[in-house]
Amino acid sequence: MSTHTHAHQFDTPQQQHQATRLGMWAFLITEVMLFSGMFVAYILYRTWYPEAFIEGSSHLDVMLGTINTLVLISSSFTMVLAVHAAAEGKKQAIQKNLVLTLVLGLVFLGIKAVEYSHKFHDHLVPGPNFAHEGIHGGHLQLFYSLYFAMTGTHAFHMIIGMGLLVYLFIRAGKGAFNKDHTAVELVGLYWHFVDLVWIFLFPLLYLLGRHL
Amino acid sequence: MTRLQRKHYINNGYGALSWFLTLDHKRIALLYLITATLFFALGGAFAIAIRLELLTPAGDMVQSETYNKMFTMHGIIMVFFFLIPAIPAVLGNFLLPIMIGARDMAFPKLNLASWYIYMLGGLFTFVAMALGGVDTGWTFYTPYSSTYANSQVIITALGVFITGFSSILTGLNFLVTIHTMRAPGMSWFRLPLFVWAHYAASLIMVLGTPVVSITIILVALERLFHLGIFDPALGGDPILFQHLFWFYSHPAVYIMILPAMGVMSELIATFSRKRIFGYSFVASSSLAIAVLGFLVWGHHMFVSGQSMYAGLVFSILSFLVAIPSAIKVFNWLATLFRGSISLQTPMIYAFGFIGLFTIGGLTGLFLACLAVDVHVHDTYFIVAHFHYIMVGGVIMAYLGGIHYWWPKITGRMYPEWWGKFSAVVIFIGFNLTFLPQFVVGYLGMPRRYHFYPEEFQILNVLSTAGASILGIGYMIPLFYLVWSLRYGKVAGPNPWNAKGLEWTIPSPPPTENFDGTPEVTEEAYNYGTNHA
Amino acid sequence: MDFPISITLFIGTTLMSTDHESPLKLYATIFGVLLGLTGLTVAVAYLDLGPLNTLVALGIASTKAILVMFYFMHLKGSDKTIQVFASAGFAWLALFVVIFLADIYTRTPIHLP
Repeated sequence: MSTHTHAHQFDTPQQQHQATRLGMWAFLITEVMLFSGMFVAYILYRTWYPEAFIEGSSHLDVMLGTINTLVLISSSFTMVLAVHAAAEGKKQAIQKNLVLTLVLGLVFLGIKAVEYSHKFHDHLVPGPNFAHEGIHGGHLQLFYSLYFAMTGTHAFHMIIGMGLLVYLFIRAGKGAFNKDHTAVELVGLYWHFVDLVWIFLFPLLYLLGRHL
Repeated sequence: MTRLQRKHYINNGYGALSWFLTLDHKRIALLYLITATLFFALGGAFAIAIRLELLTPAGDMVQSETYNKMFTMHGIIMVFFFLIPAIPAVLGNFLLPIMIGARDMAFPKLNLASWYIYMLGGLFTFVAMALGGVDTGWTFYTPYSSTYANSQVIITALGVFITGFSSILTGLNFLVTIHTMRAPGMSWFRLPLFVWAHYAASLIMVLGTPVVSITIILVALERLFHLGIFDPALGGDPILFQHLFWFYSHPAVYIMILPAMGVMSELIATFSRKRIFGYSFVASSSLAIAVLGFLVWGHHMFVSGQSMYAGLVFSILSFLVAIPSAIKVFNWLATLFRGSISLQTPMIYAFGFIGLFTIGGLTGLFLACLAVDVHVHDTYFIVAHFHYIMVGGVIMAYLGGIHYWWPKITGRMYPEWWGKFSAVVIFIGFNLTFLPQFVVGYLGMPRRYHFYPEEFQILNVLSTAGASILGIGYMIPLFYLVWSLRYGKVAGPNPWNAKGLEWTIPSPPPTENFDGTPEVTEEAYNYGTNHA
Repeated sequence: MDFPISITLFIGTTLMSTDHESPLKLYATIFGVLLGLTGLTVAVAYLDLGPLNTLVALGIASTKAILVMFYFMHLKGSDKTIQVFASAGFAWLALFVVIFLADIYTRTPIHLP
């Protein structure tokens, strides 16, 4: 165990904490800009091909999407509880909430896997296997290309997040967060960001033209 | 006489691992210095090949497809692997913590990771080259790159994607370091302008690079999995790609020039022995360039099919973005006025920058004008414009900075006469290469073609002659700088008698930079006598 | 109509109470609000509000996002610098979208003869 309270390049633990928090926020804004490219593409094609987008959206399962949204929001809640527990130094509570967050994340990905397999089965995955009766074949492929690109990138970020949760769980078990719980806080920020992306993806992909 | 065994960052630990696993920002800067130089040589080799082909009007040296690969690799290597990282990752990494009074960057491990990521991206690009290269142009326009190209698009795209993260992490490190690790007394308006410039460039790295990252991934996904976002056959819009690409790639040129301008402020102040005139204007103009630079990307797309009205908006904004750059040039000139000027090698490079950047920048105004751009788009006029800024501007500043801080980095002086000589050779070679290109471009010679009408040959021959001189000019410093490592005059802490925290510590600096944490009590460039 | 009012009052008083006393209560309240807003956005999607559908959906999503950022990510009460960074990220996204829209909404179609 290190006797240092902060890394050598910093003058005080407060400075280190301030720097690492700012660093994570700076990283999160790079992630906002990463997703922005796909949102721009979405805006373009939704403007140009509204019927195809409504058609594409109608084949997405609103119930599964809603459940996933609720699952992810719940995981954000359990994550916040984990960070709070870490601030209080309560090892058991940290681990419990990390596990809950992880499990909810797995549920989310499981449901996504089910959705993806439905799309594959229905020949709605863009590419040579794409087949759809009715109008807007090409435009519909654009919708699904964006659907897979956006939810796929999101899922990729979730998988990384879950890896980080496992890492935290192991370190928590070793009592690593008794004095300094910054790592839990930082992973929490990342996890909430992943939730934020989904908060926007859900209505934009699943809830178009439902009233029709 | 016994050799002094003072510990500094170079002799503090020997062996390859102590360098490849270093967490010292100064050693990381040297890793970047060596590898960036190698990439520059590779990109330069492609440039030589291009200029050789263009000696004759017929496309007789290589096939068209091969020529396409040559200019593509030249562009990709020079832009992503040299111009964007060079000044920030070499000079920025070395100097930033010292200039603000810190012992290292905020995130030293991330700093090292940035270098490894840069190398990994380079490896991908190298592999792509070995497997036949890519021929889409460094701009990867769709649907050629996404559907029709038969070259190594995916591997190259992944290489650029990976290197983008190096840039993002470097920018992030710089931003956090500058925000949180300034020494007591080092307020924002006491920072050297080099730091302001790197701060602004880091903002762009962090906000812009992720957009090109996702764009490249989308192209790769389209090629691999037919996720056809750019495919016109499906109703996709090729102009969408251009928007996504240029949203980053225009600000990218400000990532290149801002650090160069930062170097310039340091050189002009030291070699006029005078405070930079209008310090706060120069500092604010860096931020203004960073922000405005994000609003003008459509000027690369005037003839692409984007809306004419959007073109008008981009045109006006492009005129506006020239203003902060001009503010800098005027302030440097005002600094020179009544300054005590000494024409050492770095100052020669600085003067070269002022002239060449001004020409490059003014021709940029020509291009901002819609009507002119319609005429010269995709001609050598454009090629000349951006080379004046990137080579005449960025590379001159880079070389000026390398020479200026060489004694600090290595503890040795370079041979002054050779320094001056190469600077002049480079200046002459550069102008001979690129001035004819303005003319031949305006006359209508298109870019990215390896054959051209016979009447353009004389200008092309002049350009190639210039390129050979330029190439020689670049090689000379390589020799004398390496020579100086062993035989150069030993340098003291402040050979230039300059102001700035980096000149208060030994040359080469100790690993921890400072004994404890310095306290800053004076303004930047506190040379004394002079007026606002 | 009293039900939404009492909910709002409950949420309002929780938001305004000092967090350090019982952040858990605050988190739970925000969690509840987020769940509620999710249900709301799904329900509204089935109503025909014309062009307002999109606006309402984005408005609800933005509200949820702000709640997550302010309270779960502790943006409210953070360093000024962090608040500026966070706003800058979203400002840049908005900047990109708006200028991009300036192109796509003003393109004049080329009609083949």
